[in-house]
Amino acid sequence: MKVINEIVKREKDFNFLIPFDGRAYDVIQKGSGLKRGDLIFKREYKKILQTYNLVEELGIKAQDGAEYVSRLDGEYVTKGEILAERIVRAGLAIRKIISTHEGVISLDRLSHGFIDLLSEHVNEDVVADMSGEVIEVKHESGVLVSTNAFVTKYLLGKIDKKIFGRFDVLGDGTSVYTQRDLKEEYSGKIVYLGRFAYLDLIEEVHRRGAKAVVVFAMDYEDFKNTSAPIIVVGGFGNVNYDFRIAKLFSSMNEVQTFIDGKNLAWPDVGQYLLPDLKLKIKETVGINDLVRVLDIENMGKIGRVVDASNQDGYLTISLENGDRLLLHADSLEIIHI
Amino acid sequence: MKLPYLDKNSYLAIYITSECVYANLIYADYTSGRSYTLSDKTDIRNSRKDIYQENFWVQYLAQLEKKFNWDFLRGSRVINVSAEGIGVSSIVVHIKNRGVKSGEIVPLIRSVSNEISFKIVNDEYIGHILKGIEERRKYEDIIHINLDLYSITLNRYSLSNNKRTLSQPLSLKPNSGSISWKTRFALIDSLRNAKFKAFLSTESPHSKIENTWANYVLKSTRETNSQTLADIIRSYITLSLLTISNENGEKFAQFGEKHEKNLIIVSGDLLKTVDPLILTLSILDGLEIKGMFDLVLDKWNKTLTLGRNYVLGQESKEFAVGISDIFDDSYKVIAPLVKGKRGERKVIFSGTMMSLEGQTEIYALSPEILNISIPDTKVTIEGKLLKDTSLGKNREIEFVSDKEEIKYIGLIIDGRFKPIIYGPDARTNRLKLSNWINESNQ
Repeated sequence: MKVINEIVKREKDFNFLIPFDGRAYDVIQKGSGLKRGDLIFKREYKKILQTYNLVEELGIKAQDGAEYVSRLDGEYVTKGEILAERIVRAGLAIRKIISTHEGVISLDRLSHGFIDLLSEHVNEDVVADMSGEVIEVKHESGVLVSTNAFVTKYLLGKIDKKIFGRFDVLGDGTSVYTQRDLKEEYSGKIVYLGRFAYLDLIEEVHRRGAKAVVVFAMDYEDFKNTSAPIIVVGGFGNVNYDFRIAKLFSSMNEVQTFIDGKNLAWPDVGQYLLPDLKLKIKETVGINDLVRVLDIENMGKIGRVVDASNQDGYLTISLENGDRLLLHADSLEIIHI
Repeated sequence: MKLPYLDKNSYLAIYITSECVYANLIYADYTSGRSYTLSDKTDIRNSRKDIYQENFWVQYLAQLEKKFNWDFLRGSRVINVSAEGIGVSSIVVHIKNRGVKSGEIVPLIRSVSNEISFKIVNDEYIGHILKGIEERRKYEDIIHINLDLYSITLNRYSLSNNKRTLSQPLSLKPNSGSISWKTRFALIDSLRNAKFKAFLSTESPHSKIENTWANYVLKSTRETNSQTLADIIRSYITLSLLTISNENGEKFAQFGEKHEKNLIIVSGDLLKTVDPLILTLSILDGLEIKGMFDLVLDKWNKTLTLGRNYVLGQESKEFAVGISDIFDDSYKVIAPLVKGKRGERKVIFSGTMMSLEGQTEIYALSPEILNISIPDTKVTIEGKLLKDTSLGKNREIEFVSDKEEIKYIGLIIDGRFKPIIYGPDARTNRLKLSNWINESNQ
């Protein structure tokens, strides 16, 4: 039998943790109802003026950054001051990172190989994109809001804490992009890089301030080597990228997004049409079922069953581009998207 | 009052692991002498949270009725057996003791029907079944291999290790060994181990191999047409078995050498990913086996779900199961000691296959490992290992393939020179494997 794989599902009362990320005041009260546009809290924080990449500039591993930094976290520096240095070529040369602005040092991302230079305080109103209820106000971390949400499980990730930010889809999310396609900065954003991303693009997006990077596919070697907080949703290497998957992610552009260690979640604000799923288990794959290929050879291809009459369990699948595949039912899953 | 064993009977056994739910419904009409088993395997990797919800099991059982075209529940009552397609004597749910929270699942399924019974499948339970099979079939040494992706487990029940004494009862606990991976990262990264690479024969770029393996671990179906993946799985199984064997001293040593009647039962999710001949190769090399044994590929986990009923025999309250009900895909495997110059091609086995339809000459060559198909009728196979080839003192081979007893679908003869050496690189392994494997049927 087949358990239907809900690629994305609608969950009631999903809990979003909206972090303060700075000093918060005028915080909404626990138990309050919430609707779109309502103020959740005001916050005072420091913007990233400049990010310095120790891995590139000093030629070190991200996890070794602390050995070369010559400033303290929170220290005020002026333009021209040395932030980090490394002696190379047996003492004959020194590589230095010099501050290009005045500002406050942040070593929050040092484990990823970055030193950030922060501005003076900036104020911001954090407003709700969703309607729901405030479950709890956690004074050290943020506001817990319960709302209806679209939730999708991701395949593998390097995320060590819960992350909240606005979803930013690169281009229309359908292609393979390069650094030329990037915006100037991605502070506070969760950036979706489309069908496949190489290591240098991922690292650059992270350097430009992204809280997390989401890709459909990448090479496993790059996944192991990156220090960016990365999520892979589709697979590794050459995995087929169906238009339905692309549409799902592009429809979440600009929506507040939550990552909790297993799932990507977006509040349901009517941005995506998802039919109800009545039956979770089917006794067999049948005509008109929407299926996805799991076999390595055609991995990720999605189509509809047009012929299930073969006695040996083989089915004919029709893909969007008109191609047809003859595959055994055991190498397919029924999906709901 | 109708005596159930003289009329019709049916029984539903379900087995829950962390990746799959197996169901076997066995039916017998004793009057007409007709019996069969309906089997189902449901992948639950995407539903690991859902199985801890009552609604899942309501739907599962309802859809299973549709799949089997068999009514077994009316509301929360188990329907008594009355005819083909209607009723079962009982429903027993077996739960693997690793990876599944039985304490949470049992009450959920009980809320569907409290007439459903439960069994926990642990090493002792497996030992009980292996001991029973050993006693009824007169096997002297049995290994059960469970091949799941995240954990590979061996259980061995051997007559010599389990002799009854006056002061001590016969132990039901088999010798056990296992290898398991706690996280997906650890399992995927195991490919980077030099020992793993030593067994690979695929020459694809390393990034492709790594991507393929990562996708398989994370989401792929357990059935595949990919040659690269099949090679990775073969290497993974071989290395895992070798590691378990080496780490457990003498527990799994000399299988096939001490006794004449030996059995290996293989179950688990990886079973369908590997061709039977390749799987046999992995087992022979991983456990370094020389000898003769029966090999049962238990794709539906019938040994664990119906094995208890077989062991109990006529004393089973639910259903009396015969050996042909639990031994589906069975092979006779012969791995003799072959002497001679490495690479020398010579006939090492010569015999005949006799059935009502006639007689066929069969033979095996060194240094090949060969699977000879056995027809689907009652067949007697007789043969002899030739000069410089032996199984201990024995050279004569004789056995019967019969669906009333054990229906063998193949005779696998390993004519390779021992010890088997892999490496030093993938290309060399590929050449060796292509020399070893002869897939032609006689």
